[in-house]
Amino acid sequence: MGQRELLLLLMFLLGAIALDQGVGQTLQALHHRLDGRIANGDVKVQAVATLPEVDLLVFGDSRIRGGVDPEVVQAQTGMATYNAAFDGRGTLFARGLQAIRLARGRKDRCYALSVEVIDLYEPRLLRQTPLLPYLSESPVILELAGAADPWAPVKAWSLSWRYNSLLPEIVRRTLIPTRDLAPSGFRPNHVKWDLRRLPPHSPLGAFTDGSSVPQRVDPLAEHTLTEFVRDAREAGVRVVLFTSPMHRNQQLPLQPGELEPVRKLARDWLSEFARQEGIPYLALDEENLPDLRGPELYTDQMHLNAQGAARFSERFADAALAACAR
Amino acid sequence: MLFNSMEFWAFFAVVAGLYFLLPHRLRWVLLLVASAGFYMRWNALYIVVIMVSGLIDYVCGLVLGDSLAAPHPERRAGQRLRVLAVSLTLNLAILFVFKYWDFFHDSVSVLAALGGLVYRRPDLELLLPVGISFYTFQSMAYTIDVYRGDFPKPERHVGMFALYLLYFPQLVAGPIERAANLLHQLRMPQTFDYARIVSGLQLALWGLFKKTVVADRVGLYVDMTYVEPDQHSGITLLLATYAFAFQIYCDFSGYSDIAIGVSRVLGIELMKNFDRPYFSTSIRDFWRRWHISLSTWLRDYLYVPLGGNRGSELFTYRNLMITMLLGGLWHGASWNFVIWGGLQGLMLSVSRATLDQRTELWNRLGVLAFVRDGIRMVICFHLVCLSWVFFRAATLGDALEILQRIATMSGPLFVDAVTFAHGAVGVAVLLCAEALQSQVGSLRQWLEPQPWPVRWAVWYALGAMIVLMGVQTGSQFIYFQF
Repeated sequence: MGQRELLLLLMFLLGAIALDQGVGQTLQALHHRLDGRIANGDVKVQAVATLPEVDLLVFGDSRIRGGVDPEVVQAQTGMATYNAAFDGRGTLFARGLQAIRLARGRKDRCYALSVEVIDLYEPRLLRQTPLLPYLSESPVILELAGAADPWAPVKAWSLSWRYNSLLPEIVRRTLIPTRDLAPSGFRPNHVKWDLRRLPPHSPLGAFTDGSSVPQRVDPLAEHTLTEFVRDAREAGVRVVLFTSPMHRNQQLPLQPGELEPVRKLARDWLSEFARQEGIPYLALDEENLPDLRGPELYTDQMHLNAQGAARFSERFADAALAACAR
Repeated sequence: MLFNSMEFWAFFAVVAGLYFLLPHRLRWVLLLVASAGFYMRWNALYIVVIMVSGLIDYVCGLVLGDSLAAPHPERRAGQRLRVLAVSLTLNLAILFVFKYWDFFHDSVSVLAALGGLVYRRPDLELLLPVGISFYTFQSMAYTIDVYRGDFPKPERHVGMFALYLLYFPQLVAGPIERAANLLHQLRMPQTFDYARIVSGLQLALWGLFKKTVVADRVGLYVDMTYVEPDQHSGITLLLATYAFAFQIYCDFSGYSDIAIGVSRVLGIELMKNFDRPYFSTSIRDFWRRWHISLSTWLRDYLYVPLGGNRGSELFTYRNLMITMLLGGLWHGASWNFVIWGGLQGLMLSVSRATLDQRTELWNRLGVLAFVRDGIRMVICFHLVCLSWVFFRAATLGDALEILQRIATMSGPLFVDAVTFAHGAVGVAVLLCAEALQSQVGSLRQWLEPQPWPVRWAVWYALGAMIVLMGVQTGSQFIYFQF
């Protein structure tokens, strides 16, 4: 390789670094300018990050995003509430959101964290990318990204990479006025599935280790929950764990009859974990809430519809008020 | 170690660096050790399977070569045939045990059940060795070439022969190389050629784009819909089938591009494996452009020995059907793949049978050539998509359900907006690049005389798309399972 080629290579690499920084900075600026009232999609992280302190911050996945209406909770309890739940994300993502808020000095009064069965036994490692723009704010974000991709610390040198997968949404939200604003973070589920057409169980198979009943709680899941509680406690924020009702579990690919033992196992573990940590656990499942059993309250096997969400929010509000006051 | 992982690129940087630092006589050792390490990252034990397969063909090759070089080789025809038969039988036996054991016994079990009998499968609990179909075919091709005299001087250096089979860029998913193309290159001294290295890296970057931005992204949509076809509408499943067509193409051709690219960096040119297959104007054309190393393998070592088209039309159709059915079975131990192969064989036969009538029809219609070709491309693409349904569906029942739903086109369209936006951009870039390729030939050569800001902008844009839009969770390449 001659001197000219070496010079060209050097220039090309410098150009790539400059481009990476330029694109990253531009996306960062656009991302920070997004409307904080966005209720859905990956850029909702920005809304959670910039939200003023609230009395009750609710974490969970799509079942909670469309299941807990903060307006109902607030009207019933007087607690200023925000729904910080994200579709397809579980406790790992909640841990990331918590880290961002605590790093920004936002100390809410109480966290209500929904824990799904899948989050205990096969935590949702992937899809943490919406947290990456906040990489520099807390080491927790890199820790979470590293759990899914051991090369994340290397990739994090790239400023653009932090916006991986967020580009279309940032562009769309920047160019087109956002219509689905929801200051409370709640967005009801509207999709209507024909429940009679749903198969008796998912064809995915059982747990990835081949068993139909999980053998033990995933160490990462346990570590994440422990850290979540510890950091909240250190910041003076109370933590409430809860589980929510479903019409029939579709989230774990189990044969009929195998579902209940697994849910019971998860409830027992959460109950014991909460006891050890000295925090409340609210088993708000359909077993304990008989008025949330009807299929007319669900859009599919596991998501409450607007009617179901209104009813569940009332039950949740009572329990959360008592638990946060403890 | 996946080509779309940082681990691979770190590995490759070290191997390439050492390769150019070491003297030529030691380079084969480096490549052999690196290739073995590359394979053993998946399953260390299964390197034994490759070694056994390779040893069989190494010894058979030597025996065949010696008998060819001996006086009056025609007198040894029987012995030569027996040696070839031993090699093929052992190779196919290994493939059968590791890949087709469960499929065969499950099929027997179903047949037995139809006859009111109970047949229990002897369970071997063997994992499928990654790339077994690829290296077995490559190994078999070597012995057949030596037998035929197409590669008259068999490799005597056992290490070099091992490298021929294990060479890491093409070990697990091809291209299925021929001894005549690869072995002599492995022996050739390679210099540090800046232009060649840049060209190789550019091709690898294009492959990475295809894999991470197109294949893995549209694959998310395909997975969401194909996993439970009875929960999705016909229009959704149709869109998912189109998406799968691009997923499998970009997954496999992306892998091939990276393989060819990294090998080019090392100075070893692998054979072309894809040539814009969705621009095909007929199924015959498609098979000249799709998985070229397999289609030419099947042509040279199966179709032609079966008699090819050297007989009646009916005889040719029979040969086409046998070739494509076995080609389907090569992909996987499932009736879905057999049906996929059968469909391809049927379409090839029909295409051949109706060629004259179709040509006459187009002539009578008198449409412009580019309109005619465009229509033929669309038809061909849809025929290929029809067969992809069987390729992708988890079961035969699912495939039939999907086709039934697509036929009725009922229900609402389900689209995940973000995934769709990413995938659409990726597919649009791919199609534009390939359309340009059809006009100018090699895109890299076309870019060569352009001013440097234009060239750099293209590569920067490609890199930026990988960083911003690529799925970076290091998902497996589909063809690894074959």
